Amino acid sequence: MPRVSAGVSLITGLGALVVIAVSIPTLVGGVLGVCLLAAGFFRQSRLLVDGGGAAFVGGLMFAGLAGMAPSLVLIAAVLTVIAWDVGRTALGIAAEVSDPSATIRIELVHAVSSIVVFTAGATIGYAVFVRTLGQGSVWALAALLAGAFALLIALGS
Amino acid sequence: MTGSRRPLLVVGLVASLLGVCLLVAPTLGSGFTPTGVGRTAPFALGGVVVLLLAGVYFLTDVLSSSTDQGDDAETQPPETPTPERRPHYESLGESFARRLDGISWTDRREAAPTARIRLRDDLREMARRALTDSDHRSRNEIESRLDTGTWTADSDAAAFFTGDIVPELSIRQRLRSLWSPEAVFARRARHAVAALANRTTNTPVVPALREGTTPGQSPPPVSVREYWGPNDETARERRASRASDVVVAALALGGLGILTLTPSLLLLTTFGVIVAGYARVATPPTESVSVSRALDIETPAPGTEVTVTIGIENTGSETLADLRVIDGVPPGLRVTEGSPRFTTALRPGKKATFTYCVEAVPGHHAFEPMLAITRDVTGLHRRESLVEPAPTTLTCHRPRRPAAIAGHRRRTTPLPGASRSNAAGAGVEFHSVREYRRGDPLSRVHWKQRAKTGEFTTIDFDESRLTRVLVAVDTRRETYRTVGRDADTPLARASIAAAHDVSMALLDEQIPVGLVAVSPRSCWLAPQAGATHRARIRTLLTEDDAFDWTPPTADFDAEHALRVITRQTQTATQIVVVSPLLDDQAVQLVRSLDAHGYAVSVHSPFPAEESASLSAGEGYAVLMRGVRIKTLRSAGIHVRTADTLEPTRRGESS
Repeated sequence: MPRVSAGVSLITGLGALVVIAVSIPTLVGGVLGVCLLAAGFFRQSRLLVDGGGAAFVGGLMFAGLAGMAPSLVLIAAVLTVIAWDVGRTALGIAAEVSDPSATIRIELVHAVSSIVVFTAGATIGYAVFVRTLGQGSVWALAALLAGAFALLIALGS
Repeated sequence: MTGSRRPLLVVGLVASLLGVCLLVAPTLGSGFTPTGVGRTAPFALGGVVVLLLAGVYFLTDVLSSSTDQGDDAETQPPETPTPERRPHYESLGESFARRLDGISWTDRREAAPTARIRLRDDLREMARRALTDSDHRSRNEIESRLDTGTWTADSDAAAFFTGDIVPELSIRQRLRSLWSPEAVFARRARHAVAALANRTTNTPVVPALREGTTPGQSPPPVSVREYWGPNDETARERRASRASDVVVAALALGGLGILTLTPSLLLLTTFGVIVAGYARVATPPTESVSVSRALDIETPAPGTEVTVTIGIENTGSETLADLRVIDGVPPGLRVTEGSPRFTTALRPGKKATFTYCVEAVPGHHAFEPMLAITRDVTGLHRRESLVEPAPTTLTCHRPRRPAAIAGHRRRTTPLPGASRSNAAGAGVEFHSVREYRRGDPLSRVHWKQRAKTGEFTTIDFDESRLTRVLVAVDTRRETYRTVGRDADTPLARASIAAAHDVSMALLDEQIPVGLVAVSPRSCWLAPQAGATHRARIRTLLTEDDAFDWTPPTADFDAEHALRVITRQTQTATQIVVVSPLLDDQAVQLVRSLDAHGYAVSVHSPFPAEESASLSAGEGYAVLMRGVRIKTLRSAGIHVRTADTLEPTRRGESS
């Protein structure tokens, strides 16, 4: 199992767990997510890693509903997505490349680029969010979201 | 774009435009302040619609990943090839294991379980033969020993012949049936086969089955070509499903956010939309690598470690963030050190090299193209392509073994190339005197007799004839099987090595030797002698397709093979069939050749590690092989076995 990717995934997962651990449901979601991620690496199972990601999403949902500050929820979400994405990459590397060959280089490149992309995405998202809500226009945000989704699905493959 | 997407596109454009307008001129929205149901209904409706959309997206995602294995909707890429290993050869015991699989807990409910009855009949017949050979008792004694179960100390083995076809189950067996899929009858059959096989071979046979039978499941691809499939394309792209997973999560959270008017959930949706949008605009990596491959020795001796050096260069203008290369190691070669897999990130113009070692085995091994897999920085786009360096081959010839063996029938004189045939005619050695017939050469008229008696008589001499030998090597698909745990050399290789030894030994005696492959992949060489011909036979046995490391895919046509041999050879030609005798078709072929009037002998190599034990399935195959050898010997055909699993414990040949 590629150690760098698995390590990055578990560390960011733990980070997300710490950020959202404000109530019992969020704590359960986070702990379950970390456990499933670890089990997924141990068993080399994509299903378990995906389950870990889903548990984290559940935790995020409860955190949001519990009225957690949007910026904290966003940070937890970024950490979750990094944990899941890097974890999936670790499984892909384990399946395609056998253990003895050195995989640290591509693992590091992917982990760093994944962190950069998701952090940048979150920053842009947060900027749009603050700008629209700062003007008190939930309608604008809703319209923009709906438009973006429709365009994504329509232009998708 | 399909028609169903056009309305969605329009909705998207209008909604986005509205959002931008609201941002630019906030006063537009402030003029519209609904109250009561008018205020909550749009949110409730919008939330439910978005949640429904998330569900639909999720379902289509799951369905497409489970049914569609197409190029773009593909989510789980098939396992990458494992060229460092040999191809997966069927184990010798698999046919017996499959037969036992046919006996399950359910067929005990049938009125006449035919699979069970036939298995017991077959094994009883086999037991009769095996016990006759080993115990030297009369048939009646053997029958009574089988009926009473006194022939073996193994109670399970004895119960196979004494117990019922559908045994009454004890409470313990009933409990065991809850988790064990194996029927009691099948377990007894394994024990009976092991007990019988232990009587006939020196290698211990254990009652366990090693062979896993997984019907309908093809083994994962081993070679790069097998993985790539028969298509002509040199590159294909896949997109990971991760982006759509993010879209599903974002839609679900967004729906909830709209329903409950929670700002932080809407923020997460914004984040999801941006991630999904990035995935859409991210471009697949353009792959432009050039590769080179070099061997330190191209024609090594068997057993030599050959170092393979691979160089990869990024010839494009973009950095390759994630490059994975799997070299196309030929099927026959096994990697002993290092790995033919390599990963790196390469900047434009940079070059990386890696090495691994393979062990040389006899054969002509052509390297396959390499599989290069590249991904973009986020790993969303995966592009794989076949990269072909300059053709590389490794040719390894068999050494001459000092112990020469001649497999043909010894009825020639030791004089080079001459045999004392039964035919009378011109020659030097006296054979007989007969009446003169018109046309007899004057030099052979017995003039002294004519002077004495006045009658014309003719002297016949032993006619010298050249013995020709045709070596027929059995390399049908059925011979590509392995014996022993973790064995990866098929039995066909032993036949090819034995054919090499036999033909070299014959050529040493100046006897013309020909070569034919008993295989759907044809190979024919007419009998000749001489140094050039020797080289030709060595080359064919090393390089010809019929003696490849990968088993043939086509079915063998015995009649066609027989026609080829009978048309191209005279019946005076002796035929040495080199075969491990793993199935009845081989026996049938030998007998047909015998019936056509050829002098046939069989050379049957069957190597097995001496220390290893055999499974019950392999024990069954060894027993069956013993039966086949006996059948041939009783038909007057010489069978020479060279192995550690001598099935009859008699001399080398009969």
